[in-house]
Amino acid sequence: MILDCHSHIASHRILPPQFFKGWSKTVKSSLPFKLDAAQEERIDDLLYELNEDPDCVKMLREMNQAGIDKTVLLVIDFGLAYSDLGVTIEEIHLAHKKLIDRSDRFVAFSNVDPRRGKEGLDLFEKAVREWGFCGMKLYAPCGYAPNDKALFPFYEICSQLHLPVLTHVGPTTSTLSFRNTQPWDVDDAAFQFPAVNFILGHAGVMHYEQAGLLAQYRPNVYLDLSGFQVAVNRHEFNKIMVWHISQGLTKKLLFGTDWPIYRFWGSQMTWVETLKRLRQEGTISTEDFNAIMGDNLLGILPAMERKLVNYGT
Amino acid sequence: MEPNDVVREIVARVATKGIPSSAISGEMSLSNDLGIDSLQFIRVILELESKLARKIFSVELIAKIKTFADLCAAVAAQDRAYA
Repeated sequence: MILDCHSHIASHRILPPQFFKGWSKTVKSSLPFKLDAAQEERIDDLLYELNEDPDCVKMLREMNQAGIDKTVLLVIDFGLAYSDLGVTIEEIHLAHKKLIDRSDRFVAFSNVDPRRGKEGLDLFEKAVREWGFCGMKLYAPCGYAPNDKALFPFYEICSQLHLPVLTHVGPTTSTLSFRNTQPWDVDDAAFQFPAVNFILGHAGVMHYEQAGLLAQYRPNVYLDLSGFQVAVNRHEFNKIMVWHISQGLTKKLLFGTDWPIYRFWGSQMTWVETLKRLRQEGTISTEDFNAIMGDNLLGILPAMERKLVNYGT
Repeated sequence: MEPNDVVREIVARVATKGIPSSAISGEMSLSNDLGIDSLQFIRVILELESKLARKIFSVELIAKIKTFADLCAAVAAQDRAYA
């Protein structure tokens, strides 16, 4: 079974233009050649095009081609970090609910900025108790820390319902702060809530040595590999995977793609094939491959009801 | 200059493995054989569209291009679409 632990609905309502604006600036500044104004505009066009699949039909098509059985859709609450989004956090949750109600190929993790107070906590509780959301996402670049006490009531609910928490690690779009995105920023929460499994987003490849140490010593810390596409492009991915294996971390790694962010560099099939190649080359065993591609995540997701399977096909 | 010649000229210039333009063949991988990494590939796309003065690539098309032949085919398909 192949499970993608990290994806987003590709929609300008869900991943707002402010997010893409900063990301586009970062991409353009990282290019090793000079761009003229028309080329800068063309890059903006292409990056915006990544974000045009609001009903996840393209994603499902690529999941089918790649053999991905199920994908975790992560809500991000940008509402307090960016102004004028034109959509409420409840509407964003309902857009995710619509998809998980239609298809058992999707599950969703809720995210409500803890600074929204009781109203935010109530929305989170409704999402996980009534709407079928089966985990929590945290996006510290929006301006809060994973160990913020305001999150503890959320963690209590996660503990009670056996819901995992996926928190972003590492830099992101240049229009948000990178503070509180180190692996160890999660340690207080992981220590205080040992019954909650924490997935460090991107930490399988971003700050992976620090994150790996945390995952070795905290039974409830896991590492998401999404973002590995950058390591593949830099020819560093095999080396990183060999390091994880040497540290005995294969039961802590989770396959993820971060759709739609890396669509530019390959299809979902490209990314599954990259992992399959590691198995074919003997870098990872079949048992470890199965663990990374799905079994590890399956072990920390709550049991879920099956729903309709034919949406988007 | 034919579109395929434009593709060959730009790929040869951006490639880092020192392969002369005339030695580039269809099945060559842009990444492994020609040494065009993901960032340089953006340069190829932008220069091709500038030189041919039209939008050629979509995100989905870009994700599928792995070889020199794929790149030439993408340009040719766009030519046919607008012929």
